[in-house]
Amino acid sequence: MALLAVNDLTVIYPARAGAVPAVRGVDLTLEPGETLGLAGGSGCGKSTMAAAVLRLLPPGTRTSGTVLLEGEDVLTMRPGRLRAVRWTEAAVVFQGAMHALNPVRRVGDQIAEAIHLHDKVSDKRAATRVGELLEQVGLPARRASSYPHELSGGQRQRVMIAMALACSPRLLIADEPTTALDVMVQAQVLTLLEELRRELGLALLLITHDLSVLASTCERIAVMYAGRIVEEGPAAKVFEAPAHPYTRALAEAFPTIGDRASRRNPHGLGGDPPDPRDLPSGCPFHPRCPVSIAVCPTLEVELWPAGDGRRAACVHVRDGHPELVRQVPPHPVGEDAPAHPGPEGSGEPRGGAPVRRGMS
Amino acid sequence: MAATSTRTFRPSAGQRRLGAKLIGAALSLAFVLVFNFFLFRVLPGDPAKNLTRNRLVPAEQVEVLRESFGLGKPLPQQFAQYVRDTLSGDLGISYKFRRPVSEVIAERIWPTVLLLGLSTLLSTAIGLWIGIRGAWRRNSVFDRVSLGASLALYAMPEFWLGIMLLIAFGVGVGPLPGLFPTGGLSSPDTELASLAGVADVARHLFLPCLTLTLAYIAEYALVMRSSLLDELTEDYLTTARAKGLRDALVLRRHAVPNALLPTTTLIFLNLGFIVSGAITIETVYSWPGLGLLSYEALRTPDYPLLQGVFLLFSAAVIIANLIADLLYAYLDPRVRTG
Repeated sequence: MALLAVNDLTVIYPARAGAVPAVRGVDLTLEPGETLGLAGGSGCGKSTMAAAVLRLLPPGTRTSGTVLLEGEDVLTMRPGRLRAVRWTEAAVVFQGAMHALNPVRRVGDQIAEAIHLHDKVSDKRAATRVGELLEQVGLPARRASSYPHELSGGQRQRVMIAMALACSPRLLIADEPTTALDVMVQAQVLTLLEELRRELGLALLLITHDLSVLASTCERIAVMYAGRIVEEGPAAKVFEAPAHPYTRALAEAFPTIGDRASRRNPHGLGGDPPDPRDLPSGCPFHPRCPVSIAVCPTLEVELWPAGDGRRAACVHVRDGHPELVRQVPPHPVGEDAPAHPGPEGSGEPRGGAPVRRGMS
Repeated sequence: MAATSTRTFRPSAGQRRLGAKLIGAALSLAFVLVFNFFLFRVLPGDPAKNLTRNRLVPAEQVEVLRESFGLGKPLPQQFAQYVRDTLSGDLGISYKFRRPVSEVIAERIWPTVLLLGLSTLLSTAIGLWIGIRGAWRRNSVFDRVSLGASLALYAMPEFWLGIMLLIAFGVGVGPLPGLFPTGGLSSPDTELASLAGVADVARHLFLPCLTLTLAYIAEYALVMRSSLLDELTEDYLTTARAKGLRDALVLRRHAVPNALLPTTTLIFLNLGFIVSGAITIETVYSWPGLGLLSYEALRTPDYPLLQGVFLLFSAAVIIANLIADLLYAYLDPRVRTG
């Protein structure tokens, strides 16, 4: 049985200006001990996925589909059962460097709170456990008596990881665990997560916008865009040979260290993420897509097999030409190339002329 | 001995902070002391003349009166005398009561402490409760009603509210009799030390206390509500919920203590304004406390008494501020180290 099985999950947030569908029919599975990376830009629904696993959604949110955690549907659990499941079966490593810790309580107390909530242990036992947890994440046990503001960003993130481990969950969800940390600390935190995962046999759902982080940490990657998974497959394949133009843009948005050309000429993606209330028709990525063709604005995309155990939601994959996604150079971000070459939503392909010729 | 003499006292950050606050408070008090003296000297009116108004008093006798109050001396000499006396606890002789000011104040301080203490406690407890409930159940019927009522109460001048309550519940409207006494601390013929006496004081206390409580509930409810609403969007509350805490505990253990920080400061700063509120409310209800006493002293004008009461009020405000500062540092570890 899969540790986590998300089936056709839809999450719709309430809002005055109209309901916001943040996640629109996502399927995911995660086996015990497995690592899955979930990537995507701001507003693609990846953090909503993290919140949905423990049903940490704001009141009034509508959901459909199922989120099976060890076979039990989290979305329909009774509140008492839900609270018992939270942190014991799955725990979340929030972006601890910023505001995920209570600023006026000692970090040791905040970790002990989780222990006391789920285990009947004495204060002394809990304190010992807090010390062990802190040492496990590479902090001295005496740090338990510190307040969050007395710690550095990296130390706070370590505290957050120690807190997530407090009740020995089998699944760890790390939601942007390295955002707002400097690169050196990022690497340390990722190494720590990877070590802990291996030692404790945890399954890890790692959520970030940084595809290169996922490529080095995860076995599999799923890329989200506008509330849906647009590509999914083995990490190395997805990162090195994207089968979806959005994955490609995401992979190329980070300059390769040491590669002068990529640093001088970083590749970006024109346009803004779409408004989830008013998504473009057909493939929602088509207005920003460098390789879109005439059929894209009306095509209902789904995940098609793209070879090497991969699936991608792109017409070129359906047509059996995933290499077309990689052939056309995406637009460099710079003065010569305006970020908005055509009217938004016009579907005007950028640099896509050869493709169009080729396809029609 | 030599070893100890070379070891100098090195205060910690907390001690330095405390020291700085104490010195600041002492300087404020000294300033009030000086300011008080000159403030009342520029008020119009000659006390000796006012005291003998409408009476046929020979001019020499007025002069004797003025001399006995120490008003004949030049201003600098009066000031030096005033500072010396105040520091030794002598606040002078009241012109109106012809008794030491400290004695008069000591008699009138307890009714004010009772009134302000009780109404502060009530308005804080009720106001915070309303604010917390309103924020937690935002846009519920309770929230909408309490928000509307709070805004209305907040906008009302307290003396006006006092007069309205006095008319409605003290005097009686139309066929309705007055339910509560219209003024004073107790009825003239009751023994204060008996159970009936306590009940009688409670009946007299009801309306002034209600007025002051209503006037301040609104502000505390509004500030607590907005402070908690701010806090409720914070990420660490999601962490607390994710750990498996029930909502009531998330609120009580995490959100409320943080939201209380700005509210605590406000409550203590407000003690100063409550003192001025006491002047109007005590006058409306003839409550024989320091507020009514300052009103009486102002009408004479009774300089030594005014000086004494103002010094006490100022000291109360300065001490309340000092407590707010120290309490904030105790409640918020970020202030302690900062």
